[in-house]
Amino acid sequence: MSKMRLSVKLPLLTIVSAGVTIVLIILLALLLIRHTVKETETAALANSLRGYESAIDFFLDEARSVIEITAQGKRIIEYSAAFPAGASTAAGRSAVDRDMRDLSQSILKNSRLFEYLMLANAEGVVYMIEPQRLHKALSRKDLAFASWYKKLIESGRTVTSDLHISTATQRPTVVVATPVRDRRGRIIGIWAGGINLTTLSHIGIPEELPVGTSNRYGQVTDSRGLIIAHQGNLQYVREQTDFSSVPVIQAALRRETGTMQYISPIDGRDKLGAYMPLSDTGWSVTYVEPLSVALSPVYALTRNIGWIGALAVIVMGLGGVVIARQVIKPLERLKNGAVTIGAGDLTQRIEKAGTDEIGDLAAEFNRMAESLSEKDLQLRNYINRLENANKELEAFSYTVSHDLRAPLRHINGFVELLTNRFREALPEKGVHYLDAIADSARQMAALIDDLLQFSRSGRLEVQKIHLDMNHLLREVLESLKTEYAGRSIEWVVAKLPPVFGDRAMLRQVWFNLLHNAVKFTRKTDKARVEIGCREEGMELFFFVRDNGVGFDMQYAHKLFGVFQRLHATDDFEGTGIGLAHVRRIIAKHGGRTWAEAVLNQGAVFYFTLLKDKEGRQ
Amino acid sequence: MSKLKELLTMTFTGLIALVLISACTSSEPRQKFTLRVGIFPVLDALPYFVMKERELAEKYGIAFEESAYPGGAAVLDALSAGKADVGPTIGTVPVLTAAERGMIPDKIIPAAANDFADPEHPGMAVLADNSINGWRDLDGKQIAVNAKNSITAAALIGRLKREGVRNCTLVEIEFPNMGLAVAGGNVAAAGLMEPFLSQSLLRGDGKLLDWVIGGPPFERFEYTMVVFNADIYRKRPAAVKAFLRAYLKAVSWIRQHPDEARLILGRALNLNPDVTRQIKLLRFTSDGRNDPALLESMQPLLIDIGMLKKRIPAGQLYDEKLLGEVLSERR
Repeated sequence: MSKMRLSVKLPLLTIVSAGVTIVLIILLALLLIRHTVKETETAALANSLRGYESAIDFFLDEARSVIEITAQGKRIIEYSAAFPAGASTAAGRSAVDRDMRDLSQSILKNSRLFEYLMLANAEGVVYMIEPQRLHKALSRKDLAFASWYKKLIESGRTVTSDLHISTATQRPTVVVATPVRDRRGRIIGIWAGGINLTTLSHIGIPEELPVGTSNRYGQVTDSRGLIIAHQGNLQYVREQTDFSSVPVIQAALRRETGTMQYISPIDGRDKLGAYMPLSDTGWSVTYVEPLSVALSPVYALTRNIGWIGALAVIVMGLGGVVIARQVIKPLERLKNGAVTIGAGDLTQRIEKAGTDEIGDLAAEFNRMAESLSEKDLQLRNYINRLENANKELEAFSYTVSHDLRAPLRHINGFVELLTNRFREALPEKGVHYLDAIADSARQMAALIDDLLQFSRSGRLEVQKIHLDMNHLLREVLESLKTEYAGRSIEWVVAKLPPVFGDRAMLRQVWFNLLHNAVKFTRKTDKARVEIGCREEGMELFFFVRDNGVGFDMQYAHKLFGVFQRLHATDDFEGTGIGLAHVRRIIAKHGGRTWAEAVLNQGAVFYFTLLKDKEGRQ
Repeated sequence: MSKLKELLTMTFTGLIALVLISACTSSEPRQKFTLRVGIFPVLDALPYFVMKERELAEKYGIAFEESAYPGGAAVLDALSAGKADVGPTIGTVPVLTAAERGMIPDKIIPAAANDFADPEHPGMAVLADNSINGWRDLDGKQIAVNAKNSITAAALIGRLKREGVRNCTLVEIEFPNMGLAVAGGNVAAAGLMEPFLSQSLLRGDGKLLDWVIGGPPFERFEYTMVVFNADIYRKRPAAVKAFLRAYLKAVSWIRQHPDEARLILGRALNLNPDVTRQIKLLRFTSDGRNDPALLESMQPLLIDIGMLKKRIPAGQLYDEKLLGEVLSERR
């Protein structure tokens, strides 16, 4: 992210922050909407349940009323009287048979309450069933085994059975049965109707629609939890599917009233349900809606909001690009100005854009450039003056060194003439003086040579190339061999990294340092010189370590000065220019020099070089 | 100009992303064949339910158009009339009677075995009223069967004969209603298969008298077959093979995951979870091959009780050519 350009970062941040905000708002809104919709749907289910329960109750009441009223009619009483218990044939059957069937057909046709109607005698033997075709299908004519029959005989009242299999249709049924009594109140027959469970399932559904067209549905179970009526799936009724494990049914069968959200163990779906017991039957009535259906408006809304949100994020992203460009344009101008100034053109100024923070920044930037320009001018003046003074100094030093050589050659020449021609004539002391003059003149010549070389090196330009330091070092060691001929020196040379520098100058550095090491270990029995390098950041640290005479660290600061010597010339010859030369060369390469030592134990000389910009040494 | 170009690039990128997202969310499953399936929704239909629920049909490029029928014989009639293409749960007895009537291979072709019963995987039992203590108590009583020409009736008659009970009346009641018919006293007993048997036993409708398939007289029994309409089998072998591939995959899954298979069955048949847990599964073979020896050995009893007129060689009952081709793909 930190490497990303502002022109990308700003629109991206706009999109991300807008996206996160939109998503959070949408989530919160959807949660609230979901909660509200659920509450509303649950309340609606409770209302639907009340209506559904009333309709079911009314249907059963109506069925009971039809059975009870017709059972008190003359035709049924007369017909029952014609089939007394134990009788196998009916007296005058044909006379009343047609009337009885007309009555039954009329009830079946007009009420649609019943699937069939039947009349049995007091012993439970069926002797009339309508539709007539069921008479042949009756698997048992004697219904005395049926629990509803026993209940009716015991109570002497109208009964509504639980769900059971009809002996006439062999399908699930619920029977409403009432006793038929004679004038003295004796039970002479049983008038019963098998409730049409398809009609019962259709209660609450518009006439023109079949069962199962709505996603919200009512359901009725008997006291065992077996489905009696179902607005959603008639197969449940045909197979008396066991709903006793469904929480909403269990609650209703416990005679509780309320609403709940639950997972149906039958189909595994999450549902909302309202429940209550059905008056005094022991049955349950529930009204149910799958949660996915109840929340479908929320899901649709979620999809739409999602698309709108995505569109909003895209629009905001595009807006972010435009805004970012407006913000970045003056910044780009600032950056370009800074680059131009950084490249050396201090006359560059930035056009002020507006009065906002970026405008202020541009003004400050111009002020800074103005100030920098003034300082630069001052600095250039100082540099010019310094350069002129330096040139004069160098010219002076060169001239002095060069001009000193001529009188020195004369001195040397005449000392040589004196020695050659008049040596015999001179007293011993005179010869000694001449030798001293000759030595001093040679030493002075060496000093002048070194000084001239040192002076020249100050004027030379560094010609950097990629150098193999190992190769350079081998050359220097080879040239030094005559210096330590006859001596035993242990050389420990590590593999050195390549560098980017002036070949001649760096050769001079190695020569001076190694020449010193050879010189200052002259009095050491087992001389050892170690050469190595380590890498640290952008610098290479080269070192030359010897076990020679070393030096006192309190004079270390003088070590790299011109003509600075820490040892007597008699002990170790030299002009005191070598290390000054090393420091100048290394400084020209942008490096540093220093030394560490312990007197009579040895010294380490360090110099550093910068790696080049491509990471090479 | 460059600003306009950038805006257009962003807009097109957004639109492409939207198109890609919507394309990914509405990708249609690959479907090549549509098969009309005649189904009798009982335990035997488990591979079919698994094919549907685990989307194996879609995986093998089949789309189902399902019609439910009250029994295997009814599905067989639909197959022979061209109203259905495949019946994955056709009872062996209806297949044998269909062969006797000359319907094989002109009208229908059984292409694989579906399930088998044995004492470890019993298939049908007699649920009896609590007052019934032995087979002899059924003398003179009414007993429910799903159809009088069904294997239930055949097994029941065979067992009653073996037990010396000769005076029973068979009443046709659909499987789902048998338990309540026993509980209500309509019939004294009923020949019941899973899951209705477990449902009735849990509900206390009656008691288990004994197994009659997976027990005498049919200790071992080839229960149902996968049957195709003959035209479909001959003219659309690729569709038949696709179905068989999905079917074998479903059977393999059932054998590995019997408990999960029970749950699928429970959902398909709207069962109470307690019932689902107790269901006894039949034996589904991994290769769908018929057992000719068993098919031959089952027939004498069927002839004896009058369900078959003569023995039918097992080789005339089915055609496993396409099944063999599908099985060879697995090797």
